[in-house]
Amino acid sequence: MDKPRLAVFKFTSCDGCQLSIPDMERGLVDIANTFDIAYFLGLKSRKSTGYYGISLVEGSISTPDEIKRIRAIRENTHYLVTIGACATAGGLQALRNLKDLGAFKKAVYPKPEHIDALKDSLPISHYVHVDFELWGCPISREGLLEVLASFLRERRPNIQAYSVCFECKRKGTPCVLVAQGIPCLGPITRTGCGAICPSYGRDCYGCFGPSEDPNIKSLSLRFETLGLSKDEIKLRLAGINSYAFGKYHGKE
Amino acid sequence: MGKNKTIKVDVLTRVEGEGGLYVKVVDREIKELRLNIFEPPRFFEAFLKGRLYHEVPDMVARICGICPVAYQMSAVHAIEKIFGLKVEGQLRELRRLIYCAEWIASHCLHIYFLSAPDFLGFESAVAMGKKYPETLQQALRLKKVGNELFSLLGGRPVHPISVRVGGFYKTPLKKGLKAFLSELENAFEDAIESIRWAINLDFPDISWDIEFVSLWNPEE
Ligand code: SF4
Repeated sequence: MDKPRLAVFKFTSCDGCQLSIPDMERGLVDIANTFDIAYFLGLKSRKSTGYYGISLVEGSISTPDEIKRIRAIRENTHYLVTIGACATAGGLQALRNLKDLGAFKKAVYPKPEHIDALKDSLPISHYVHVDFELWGCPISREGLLEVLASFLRERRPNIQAYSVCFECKRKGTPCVLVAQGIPCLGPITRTGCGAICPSYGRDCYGCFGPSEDPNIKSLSLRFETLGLSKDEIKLRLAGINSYAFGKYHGKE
Repeated sequence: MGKNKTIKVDVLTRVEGEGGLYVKVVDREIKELRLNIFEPPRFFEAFLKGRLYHEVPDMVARICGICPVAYQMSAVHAIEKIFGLKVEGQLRELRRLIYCAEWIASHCLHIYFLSAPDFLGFESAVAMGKKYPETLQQALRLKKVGNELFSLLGGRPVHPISVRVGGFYKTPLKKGLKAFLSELENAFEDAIESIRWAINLDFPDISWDIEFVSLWNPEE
């Protein structure tokens, strides 16, 4: 049987998610033995076009050119997976969606007229159909391996969407919110990182995006009792996954 | 190179970021040279305004997935300067150590995975490994040690969560660091071997009339 063709694409991002592939060390060799890595600019110079069995897409859509590129990729892909917060929720750069782009351009570039950027940084799913979204900033290697393994076996990835709190309980990490009054986003954030931050005695800052049915309103009220102002609570949610949290927040 | 030649690379590969290159040579002379960087802007400098100081290290890490610590360290030093705070002693040493972990991992990525295939004429490090399996093994071993040391101090191998203004959210246990020492000692051999190997690569013989500057810290 021919090896399935795998492609890795980058849009507006930091490379952190796609580089979890060489970060897998020996896993990289296993992936290369199992898949035909047809397109991966970050690791391979030969570019093989055509139809891809699975495309891993990193990064958000933030320029007009990227809209064209993602549409072409969708047409040539059987199973399209977004990897990371940028691709799945617009990323940290989606903070500009809440502000005036013109002012942002002027604040950073001496010649803002040369900057070709869309008003909003948006998730891939805003423009094309996505078959599976893998959250995280960065994604976890285990998550990515599960996505690849499930693709080979033609089943849904076994990746949970409950909150980080469950993971803390399982690890026996004392709750930083209850015990120390730290405004932790764990109760509304998706599991998948291994609940690292609370085990370091600090707040989760939501890099894996919203969990299923996040009760943002109730957590905000809890934060108020900790003495956070409404503005501070807004800032807490306006982080790496601002666009995704904002969607829920807006509803309430 | 012939007398006339045009080199057009739509997208450069095995580099971090996105760019293209266009070179036009006429009569052995470069007539046109364009480096096109199309890495889209993300506006960090703008959206950081108005944020709380303790959010900054977590945010700036996302500038680059290869060298997040570089941004985190610049940020914490800048903010500590504002507070008139000086982080010294063991905390400073641990900061240096996490920086070194990043260097091990990122230099290994750069040398073996991004650059070496070009020197040796392969499309990728994996393809290179088919002919030179020991070289690839060495690369993977070094990368692993870098990543593990990084995780030991930072919680994970990309975008560490332990770095904060004033020091660390949690410092590693002495026990954990000690247990890692033998791995580092083995990696030291691999590092020396890597240098031996890299200096024997065939570097093109070009020299420019340029003065290179490098900075160093006499205390480190
Ligand atoms: S999700 Fe985070 S780690 Fe992944 S590319 Fe975006 S900024 Fe980098």
